[in-house]
Amino acid sequence: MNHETANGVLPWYANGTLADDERQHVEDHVHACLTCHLELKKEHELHELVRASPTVNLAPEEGFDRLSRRLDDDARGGRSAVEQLAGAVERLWGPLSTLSSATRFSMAALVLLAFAGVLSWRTIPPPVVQGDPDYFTLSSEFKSAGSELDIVFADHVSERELRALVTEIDGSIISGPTALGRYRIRLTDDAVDEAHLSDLIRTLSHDERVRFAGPSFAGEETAE
Amino acid sequence: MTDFSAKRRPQHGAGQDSIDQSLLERIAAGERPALHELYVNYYQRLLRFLYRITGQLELAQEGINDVMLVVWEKGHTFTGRSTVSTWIMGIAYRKGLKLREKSKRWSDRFKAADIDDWNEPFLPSEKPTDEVIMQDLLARALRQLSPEQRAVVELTYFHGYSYQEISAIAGCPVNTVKTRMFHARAKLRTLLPKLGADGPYK
Ligand SMILES: [Zn+2]
Repeated sequence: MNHETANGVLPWYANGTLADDERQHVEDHVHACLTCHLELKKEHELHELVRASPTVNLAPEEGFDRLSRRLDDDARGGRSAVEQLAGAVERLWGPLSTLSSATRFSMAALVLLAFAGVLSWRTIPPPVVQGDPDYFTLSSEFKSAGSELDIVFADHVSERELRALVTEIDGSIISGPTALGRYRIRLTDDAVDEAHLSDLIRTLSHDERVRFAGPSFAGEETAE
Repeated sequence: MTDFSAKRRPQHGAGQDSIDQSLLERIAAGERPALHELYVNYYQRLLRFLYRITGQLELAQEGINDVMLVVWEKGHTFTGRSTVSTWIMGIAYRKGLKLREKSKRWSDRFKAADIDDWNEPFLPSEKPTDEVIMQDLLARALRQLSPEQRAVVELTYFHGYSYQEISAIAGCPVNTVKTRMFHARAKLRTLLPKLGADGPYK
């Protein structure tokens, strides 16, 4: 089996779904290919990470009741005009409700149940996005995140040390900290290339003042 | 020799499929309690999958009922060429993409900046652990993928499907599944630089 073929199916080697002969071929290749060997390690970590990612837990009964009513309506030979209109309005406005709906909060609370017993959390309101023109300007302005990175500092780092570190890398804080302690840093040299940025991230990741460093993601708003 | 490969998730066993199949037969015969049982069995799986595709809990909930309505109405057309679970996830895949598209059109029209629920809605009461930081990073990294790529990642790593099953779910050739995964992995590698660096999460 050549490198491309083996490398392309590593995720399914890692999740244990390859057929016996294919699995054997991949295994033979992985033992001979350092690149695939290292990538398989990442595959396993990604696998673990996704499997450990929190699952939303909601009780199915309420949903099933709604489905039952829908089936009953259909069984009665269609709904009344008023009901149909109400349904249409609901469908039209449904997507909008996500912007302002109070049910967001109860749902957020339910999501938290996934974490219950692991950590104690409290909810904070989501960022206000509706009809705020500044928000949109901000988010489109920073779409290209080429010279930006995200840093979570170590617990023992003081405000002064934090600012010193940012100056050291010739950057400035443009937002943060978020709820998870993440700062967004923009480098003064905005023509910085990708290789330089990933070198910097690697260096920072080994710095004892830093818990996490990574590239910032394009399209995410910076004013959190 | 070390076995690197993980074990399959139990929900895919042949035993599970025969349970699903007999439920589906009863559903095709119009038995509402059988629908209820299948609904409950699939609820969390579908909620999670649809949430991952659409990014919105309300859409995900709406999607589950859309999926189950199809199961109720089209149960008799199930041929048994795939497992019931692949068939249902395939319906969910199409409904999820459609719902996302619909809500995107609405949010574009109203110029909403972000249609997703995923933005750090929680504030931990104590210092976040490395695990929480990493999970936050993962959630945000997944958002950078297309819904189709995200679905492949989720179906592979969380739901434990083979690429053949995913090709059936997504209704596309096996090579397309592999290509989507290839691009998704390349992107995730850049966005999650700590993967594989020195041990998990570090
Ligand atoms: Zn290789």
